[in-house]
Amino acid sequence: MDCKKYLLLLVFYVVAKATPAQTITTLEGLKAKIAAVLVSGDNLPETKFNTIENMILNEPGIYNDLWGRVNNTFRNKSDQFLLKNLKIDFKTFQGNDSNKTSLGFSYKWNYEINKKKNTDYQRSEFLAKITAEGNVAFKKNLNPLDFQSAKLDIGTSGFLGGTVNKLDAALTADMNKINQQLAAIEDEDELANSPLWNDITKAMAIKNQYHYNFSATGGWEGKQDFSTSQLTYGAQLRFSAKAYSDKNPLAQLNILDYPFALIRYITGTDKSINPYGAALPIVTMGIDMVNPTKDSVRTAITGNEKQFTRFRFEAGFRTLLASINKTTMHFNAAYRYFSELNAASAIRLAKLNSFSYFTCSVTAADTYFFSYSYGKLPFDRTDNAVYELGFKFNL
Amino acid sequence: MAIWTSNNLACVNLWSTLYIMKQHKKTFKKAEKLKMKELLFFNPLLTEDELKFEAAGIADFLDIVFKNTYGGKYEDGIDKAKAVNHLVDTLIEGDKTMADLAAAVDDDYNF
Repeated sequence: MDCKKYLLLLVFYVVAKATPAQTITTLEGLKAKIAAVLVSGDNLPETKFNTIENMILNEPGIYNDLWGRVNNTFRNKSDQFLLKNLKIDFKTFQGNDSNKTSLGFSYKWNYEINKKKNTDYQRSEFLAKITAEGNVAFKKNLNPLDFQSAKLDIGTSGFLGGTVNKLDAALTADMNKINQQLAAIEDEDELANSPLWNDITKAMAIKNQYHYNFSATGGWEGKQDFSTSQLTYGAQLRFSAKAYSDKNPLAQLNILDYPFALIRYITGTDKSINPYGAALPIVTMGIDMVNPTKDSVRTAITGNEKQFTRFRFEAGFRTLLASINKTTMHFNAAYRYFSELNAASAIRLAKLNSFSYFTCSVTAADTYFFSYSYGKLPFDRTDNAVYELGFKFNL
Repeated sequence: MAIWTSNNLACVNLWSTLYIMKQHKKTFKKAEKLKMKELLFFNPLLTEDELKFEAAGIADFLDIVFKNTYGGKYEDGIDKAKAVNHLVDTLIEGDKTMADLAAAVDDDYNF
């Protein structure tokens, strides 16, 4: 028996010991698949064994179940603070230009030290944070998201606004009672139309919230096999504004939300065409010095690996699309843009001076209805449009 | 986990404040099993850092409303930093429910 079969037996053993199979929904589908393969006979010929072996060893759900159990053993332990923020998600990768697939995983890890000012109205903090994240495919040529990074951020975060009136004890008691009255309403339309909301929001007098983070950043970026890598250091500003009161003019400035406000109105989700101030986008801008430590493509084009300056712009947006019957659908989007400043003409001719990547999706609670991605990130060399609609295909 | 009942002000005030913040449109009864990833702020396409930044904004506003509007006080041994971090830790876990978040509120605030 070769080593793959020992690994197969090990997976069987660990699954059997670690998980009561009848309670693991992700394993049920696998059991059904195995049963279908075994249905034609009692003996297990080599070919069927290999089929089952491949089925098990390439099923990301098994590894996620196992990892989930390992993770649960240390995530809530205070003495495991370095490990508890490690997130691993096994998945199947599909190459951009083929139907071949590879098992792999994405990983995220961070560790942070923050010093908050603890008084009610001094709301800022010093933050030092180390993060590592990326995607690893066991067959590296089938990794369409081959971008790994490890970085250190040191900076400050804080808020301006985002406050409400401080009420006296009598009003506080009234507000608590109103909430209990609202909680007793069981019809969503009746709840949405209740005049009691006005009583609360009038007393609160919500101010717009402005949230910022300014930090110095430094780190490493590269491919999973380290064939291409670069060091970066620079500074970034992250900013998000929110108007939680519809009456605040800032909400009306959320132009991204107007098409969705119209859809919400048409579908009866909202009574009027009102953009959400709570759905204003999050924006990050940064300037990085990039030192390509290993980049054969760049070296071949420019003849050197001199450091360069890169501008970065990233934005994220999510809003309510519609709420129909019991299904609530959201529209999600993210845009990332990287541009080399004063790039050499050879770099511009090779179209390596800027990279942009847009992705969006429509999702409900535990599923998605549609997703679309287009563009490239640093180290990607081609644009790829990827649509997903229950199944995935590439253009 | 906090018992999801309208007699528990941690549950009611959390549900009401997130409703006003346009994070959901559910009745109190239906909101118990609402997951964090169903709230308006939880954009699955954000990076971990970006999502945590958005969650910190939600948590900071909740903290202020709990204290200023509903008269909440921190439990013994809890301060703003601990309470807000506790909220953020729950908010960024997509599969945690409103009841889980209410438990965090119940642990850290006394209404």
